[in-house]
Amino acid sequence: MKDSELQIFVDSLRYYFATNIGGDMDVSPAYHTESNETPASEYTGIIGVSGDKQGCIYLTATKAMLGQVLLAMGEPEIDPSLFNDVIGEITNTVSGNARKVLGPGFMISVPIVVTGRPEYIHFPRNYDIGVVPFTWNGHQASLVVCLQ
Amino acid sequence: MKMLIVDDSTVMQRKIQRSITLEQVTDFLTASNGMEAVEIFKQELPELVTMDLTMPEMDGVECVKHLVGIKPDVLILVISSLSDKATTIQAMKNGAKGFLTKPFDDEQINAALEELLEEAQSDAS
Repeated sequence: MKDSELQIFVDSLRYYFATNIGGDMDVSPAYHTESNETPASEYTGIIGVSGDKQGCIYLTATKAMLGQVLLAMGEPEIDPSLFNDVIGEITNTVSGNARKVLGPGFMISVPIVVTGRPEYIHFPRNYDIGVVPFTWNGHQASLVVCLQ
Repeated sequence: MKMLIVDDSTVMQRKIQRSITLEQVTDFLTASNGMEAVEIFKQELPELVTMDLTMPEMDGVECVKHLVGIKPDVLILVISSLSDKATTIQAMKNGAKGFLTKPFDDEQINAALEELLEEAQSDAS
């Protein structure tokens, strides 16, 4: 995966937070890794990718952050039953927006959400993995792009 | 005027409902996938629909075709993260009248719906 491809997702992530959520977002430098030890937090929204590219995109965040995100999006109170929904929706939108650049052959699935912090997330060895760590209002989260 | 919000995300359904300030819209209905949307649409025959595209059961592009088959003059605004031209064209071919890319702010969704209503009014007169 080229840096320019990873940047598409960084831009999409920044745009989502700026438009829909607001607050103070700080994106750390994105990096490529060959390690299978990618970050994983309490809630992880996963989008499968097929078509011209294969792999997945995931966003992982703490429940504390997701609660604050819900409030920032206009929810009247923190409803934990919406944590799966909101992380799935953000991951879906950030991934879907990439089609503007990557084209309709970049096909995405509906979101799958994993609750609970996994020890590791393992990927096939021939996949490129890009990690985008960021903080939002002091909460740490990461976007991970894994494409063949 | 009734509006049906079709989106598999409850958070998005609520956000869309909170964002809309158009006086013409008096009642909101919601559906979480295309199949559910068709059932609610048959019963309630809303004038306006916002339609997500990536959904389980039946996706939005297919659902648009069904709704237009039931009520050809329905005003459907597709609201999706799939921001490529091919998807937009396919949704419009099936009968959607407008397209708004997620994420959006309150001003953008109200402007898009207002445009739809104005176009429908000028077509009718």
